[in-house]
This record gives sequence, structure tokens and C-alpha cells, in this order.
Amino acid sequence: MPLECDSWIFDWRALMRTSTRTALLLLAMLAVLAGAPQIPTSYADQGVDWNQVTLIYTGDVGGKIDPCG
Amino acid sequence: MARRAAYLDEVWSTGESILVLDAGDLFGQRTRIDREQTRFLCEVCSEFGPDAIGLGEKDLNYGVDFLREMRDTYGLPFTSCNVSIEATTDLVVEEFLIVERGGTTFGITSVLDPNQAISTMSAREEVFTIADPVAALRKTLPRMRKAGAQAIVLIAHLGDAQSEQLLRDVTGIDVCLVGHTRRSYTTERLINDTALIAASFEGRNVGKMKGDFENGTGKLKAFQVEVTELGEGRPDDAVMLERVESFKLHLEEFRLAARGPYQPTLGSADEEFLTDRECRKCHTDVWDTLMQSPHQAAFTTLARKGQAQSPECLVCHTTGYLYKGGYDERPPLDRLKNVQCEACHGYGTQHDRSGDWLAQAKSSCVTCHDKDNSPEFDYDTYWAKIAH
Repeated sequence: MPLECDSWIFDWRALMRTSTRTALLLLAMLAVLAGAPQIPTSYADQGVDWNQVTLIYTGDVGGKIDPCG
Repeated sequence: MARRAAYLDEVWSTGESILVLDAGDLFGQRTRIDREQTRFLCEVCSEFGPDAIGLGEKDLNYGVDFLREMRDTYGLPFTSCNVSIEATTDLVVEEFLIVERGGTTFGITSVLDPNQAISTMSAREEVFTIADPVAALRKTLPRMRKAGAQAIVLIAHLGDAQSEQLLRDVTGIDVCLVGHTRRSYTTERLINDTALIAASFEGRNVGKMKGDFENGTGKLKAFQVEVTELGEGRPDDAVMLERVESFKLHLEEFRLAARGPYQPTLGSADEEFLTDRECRKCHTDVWDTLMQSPHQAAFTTLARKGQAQSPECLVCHTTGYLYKGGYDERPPLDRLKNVQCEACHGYGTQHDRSGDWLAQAKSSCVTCHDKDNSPEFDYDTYWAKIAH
């Protein structure tokens, strides 16, 4: 019996720790959803400066000025 | 060309920083007519403001002198780091190009597949060496960096599979434009931090990649691609359309002077193509099937595209073009439009006389349905369309 009792007490404490972790996780998710400080999602948010260039490209034109057929 | 001009006008009007590239094989086939057309194409392409053109094997179809003449006359920026003239070991064109655009310095070069055979129609036949692309790039990339290149653009005239393999072997390339392919990459593709892009073929598609390059390092941070098919729904640039139409008239004169290599030299002057209406007199059972086949619209399709005078097209869109007594635009031989019975079965007079018909009719399919013009050709599938 004492062994069973110890085991029961151990499980109860473990359950409490799990509940605490779950509660913290839920709080963090709520904070994110509520617009609290978020993890940067792009390089722009990380303060990276960049230049945008548009590449226009063709290939294998094969001397055609108009495709036939 | 007219649609491409209109497309480019549209892009330029946005005020964006534009880099114009071509993946190579700009030039046509090894015929005099194609060379004349290529000359016009080069003139027009120069007005599209190309920043770099990769070197494809077809770009040497008319020899180094013609290529350099086009480069110098029209300022076409060809580049390649692995094709040289065997006798002198000199590279055929510039090893790489440095282009400043929108605050980023681009280093651009190209490589050609060493398995490609280069043969020219120039008076003096040059022999070329195509070095291993990986080895060539390992020498060229540091030189490009030293010359100030921040972002590296590689034009890989290698086809799809070899380009992908090359990017696993060589790192430090930001963008790879794939040439020698019939595919257009309509979604964003990335291999080892290199963006893979392609828009092919015969000028039917044009690609646009919006790239964000890190200021200072030129490293590609994000990109987005879009491929536009220049089909009939796209608008034409009116001025360019007029120039193209005017050039076609010039080309017609050029053709009348000589049909180039497409002379009617095959067959016999003693035989005659009788037309499918004669065939119908005996073969009524197959008439309906043949009339509904795509072969019966072959010439119309061509004419609609304004190519009814193009010998290289007429070979497959008419009957007996390369044969004595075959199609000609002048009557009465103009009745041999479309792919008629005799295109596969041979002269009607021969059949009428002996009952023979061309035994190799089946194998004649591939003379037109070849890899270039009919890549999806499968005998059984296509036969079902004309089964008789």
C-alpha cells in the first residue's frame, strides 16, 4: 500500500507539471493571437535592406519572328 | 515580335529596374532564309534592350564571323565562359558581363552543354571546344566577384536535368536561367539557394522574375515568377507589327530569288501528283475520314500565322514541296496545299499505273512529326486521328 500511495502522489505531481506547461503554452498562443510581440516572418521585418530588380527573360527563340503552325 | 514588343512596353512603363536576358539559341536553322530572318531578329532584339544573351549551339549556325557581326552591329551582349575556338583557344564571346541595375551589381555569364554538336554554314568551318561547365564556372565565378559582381546570374544552356545537377555542384549562384529546354517554369523553383527560371520556346513565352537582392551583398532574398504566353489574346505593338509585315514582304522577294535549300530536287519529272480529289474516285471509303483529319487544315493553319511563304514550313504543310511537280504557290501546283494522300503515299501517277503505293508510308510520318516540330508524337495515338 505505501508503495501504491507514493506512486499515486508522484503521478499527481507530474500531472500538475504538465498542466502548468499546457497553461503557459495556451497563454503564449493567446498572446500571439491578441497581437502581442510576434516572431519576425520576413527578412524585411528583420531590418534587411534590399533592391528589387525585375528580370525579363526568353529562351530558345530559334530565329522565329512568328511561330508557324 | 509585335506581342513581345507590346509586352516589354508594358513592363517598362512601370518604371521598375529591369534586367533583360535571353537563354540562347536565338538564331535560326542553317539556311539562307533563316539567316536573313535572324539578321532582322537581331536588329529588333537590340531594341528590346538585352543585358545578356547566353550562347546556344544554334547561335554559331552561321559561324563566328556572323555572330560577332550581329554582336557588333546591333550591340547584342552575348556571353559564354566555356565555348572557345579550338585553333586559337580564344573564347567565342565575352567570358562574363557586369551590369549595374537598381542598386545591385550583377555578374552574368553562360555555359553551353559540351554534348551539343556545333556545325556552321560559314565558308570556313570553325572547330569549337566546349569546356566542362563546372570547371569553367569555378574559374569564372571568382573573376566575376573580383570584377565587382554582387549577384550572380548564370544562363545555363544545358537543359533541365543538367542545369539542376550543375547547381548541386556549384554554389554561389543567385539566379539560373535555363536554356535548351521547351519548358517554362511557372512556379518558384529553388536549388541550393539558386532561383531556377525558364521561359521557352520560339518566343512564345516571356518570363518575369521579381527578385529582392540584399543591398550591399546582392544576395537573393526573395523572388516571384510569372510566365506570360504571347498567344493570340495578347496585344500587338502596331509599329512593330508593321515592321514585321514589311520584313515578310522583303523575305518573300528573297525567297522568290531562291528557295534556298528547299529546292524540288526529289522524285521524277515524269511523275505527277494528282491531288486527293483523284484518289477519291476509287477510295471513297476513306474520304470522309481524311477530310476530317488535321492534315486537311495544315496549310490553313500556316496561312493564319502568316507563314504560307516559309519554305521551311511548307515542307510539312503541303504535298510534295521538295519533289518535282510538288506544291508551288503558282497555279496549277497550288492545288497541292495541305497534307494530302500523296504526301505519304507518293506520286498518284505511279500508283495509277502499277497499283503500287509507297510502302514506307508509315515511316514517312516522322519526316515531319520530328522531335522539333511534334515532340509529343506517338504513332498509335496520332494514327488513330487519321486511321484509314
